[in-house]
Amino acid sequence: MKRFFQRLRNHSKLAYFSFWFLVFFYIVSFFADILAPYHFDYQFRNKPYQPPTKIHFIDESGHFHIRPFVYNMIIDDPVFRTYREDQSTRYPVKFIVNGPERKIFFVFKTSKYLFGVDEPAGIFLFGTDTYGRDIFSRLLYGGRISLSISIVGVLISFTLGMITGGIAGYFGGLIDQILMRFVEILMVFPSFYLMLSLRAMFPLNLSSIQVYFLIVLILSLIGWAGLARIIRGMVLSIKEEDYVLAAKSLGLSHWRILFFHIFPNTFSYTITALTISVPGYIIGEAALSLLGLGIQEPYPSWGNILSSTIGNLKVVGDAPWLLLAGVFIFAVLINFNLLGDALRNVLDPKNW
Amino acid sequence: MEEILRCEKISKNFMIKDPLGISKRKLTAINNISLSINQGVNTGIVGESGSGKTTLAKTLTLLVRPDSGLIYYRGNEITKLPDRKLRFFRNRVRIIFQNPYKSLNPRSTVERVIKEAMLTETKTSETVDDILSHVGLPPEYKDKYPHQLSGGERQRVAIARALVGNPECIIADEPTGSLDAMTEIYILTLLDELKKRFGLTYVFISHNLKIIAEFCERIMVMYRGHIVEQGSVEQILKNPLHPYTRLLWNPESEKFVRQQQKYNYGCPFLHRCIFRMEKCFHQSPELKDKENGHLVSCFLYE
Repeated sequence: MKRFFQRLRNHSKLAYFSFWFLVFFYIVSFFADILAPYHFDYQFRNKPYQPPTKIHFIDESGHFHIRPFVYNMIIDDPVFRTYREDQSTRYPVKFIVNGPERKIFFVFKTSKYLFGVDEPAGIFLFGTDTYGRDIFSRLLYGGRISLSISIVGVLISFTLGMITGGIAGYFGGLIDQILMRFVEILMVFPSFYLMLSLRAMFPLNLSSIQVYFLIVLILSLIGWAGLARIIRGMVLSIKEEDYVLAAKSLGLSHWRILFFHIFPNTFSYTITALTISVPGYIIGEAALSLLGLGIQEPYPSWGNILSSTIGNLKVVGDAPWLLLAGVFIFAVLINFNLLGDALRNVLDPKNW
Repeated sequence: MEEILRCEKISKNFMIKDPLGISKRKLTAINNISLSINQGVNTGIVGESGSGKTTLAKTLTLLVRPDSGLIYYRGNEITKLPDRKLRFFRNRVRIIFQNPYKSLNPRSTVERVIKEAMLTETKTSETVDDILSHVGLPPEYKDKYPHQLSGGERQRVAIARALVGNPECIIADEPTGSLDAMTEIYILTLLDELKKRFGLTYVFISHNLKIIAEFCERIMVMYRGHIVEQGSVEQILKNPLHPYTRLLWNPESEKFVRQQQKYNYGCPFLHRCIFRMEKCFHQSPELKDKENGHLVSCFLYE
């Protein structure tokens, strides 16, 4: 493991950075319940589209304060939604504050958050949306869904793809014929219409997270077909290699040969395909949310935060901070691609 | 003399499709070969490229199943046994491949290669270091990957893998085929030492009659999937009977005779033979004992 990081760093500083960047993102969104100052559906009804709160160290009379503070923002013009700072009271930023109880991933209870300010002021690092909800908190919570769901989807589809393709390619014959015909049947489904009809089929009383998990499950259950075909092709050629025959001549079991000799040699392809398809799920989720098939309000995901801006160009002009979800998606995508590219080389023993 | 391996009339054909997959052509890799390998008698199989030596080696170890014919290991027929019932056989009969650049998994360290061979063994009193020392590699090589080794070192690792678990017979498929002349000598010396130390029986496959002559007690000459001559080293060296065996000793004479056209009938050696007769066009000669176990398949000696 230690050597892996060394190799990654030696291979590419950029990819090394990408790796830790992604780890940071995953940790931050995992602990969104602690890090976010507000719950994702907590609304400040009097503060729609508030620009990001300024954090001050120096007050209006020129005094310096070690503890940063914010001012309450008051809506000046409800039509054009211009805000001004009410400088009469200072609201110091508090660290480790108490608040309503939240559950970290539905298990551990917490009532302490990393930071916050007293109401009526609010600390909105990235501004608020149309209902006055804190975009920063929503991005953290949304990351939890967007990032975790992509991993789940990728894991399901890759496990299925590797095993099916591997078995079909390795054993060949009738097994290969049956599996590949089955894969072809899966491939002819127009996935988009399937998604629409599946969403219509689900009972309405499912929570949107349950629905989304089901859709991801179905998407990945369809998505592995293409991968299985490619893996099968690779296995077909690898199983003729001398080292596989040598393993066979030692009397090793088929599973051992498959898992220790054949699959590792498909990694040059699968690692890249894996890291590149992670963004595919994030984008897919964003596209679904845009169509109203993904995560539904009030649950946040990067996709539906972004989609809330679509169709209303004036909002984009007035509240550009809503587009930060797009920046997050972009950042994660580019880092996954950079990492995937480097991993292929790093995991190849020829480069050690 | 105890018999380790015996095969009776084994044949293996490969179907070659044309690129469109419309027509198929049958390629006979080995044709009706019978041979037996006895304990302590090193057998050499010699022949030019494409004569079916490697296919024969893979068939003898059941990596490739023959289309017809039977293979016996110590009197038990094993031709159709499923792989999981073949462990006892796989542990006792091992194969070394021609190209050590291909026969080692590029993602396995030397240690894993050897440990894996131990997996199928019941008793593992030997350690990786022991085995490496048998083939003349220092223990530090455990953590190396194949691409970090030279060709000769890789072949030593491949030999080490074959040695794990006390085999009785090693089928060496041109073990020096892709090595330079010096390394070749080292590897051959090593194989010779191991033979004495572990009491191994080799089936040594090569295109080089001289190496075979040094290494083996019995020689089989293969041509286009047929065994054309078989006998002890003295018999083959002093008195090569088949025109092809003579050609192997003196390859220069070839260029005056060779014809491009191959006949799919008659004697397999027909198109290159300078002694061919009318009869050779019509039927294929059988492998017949000429004297004291010196077998030859040629109408010249009937």
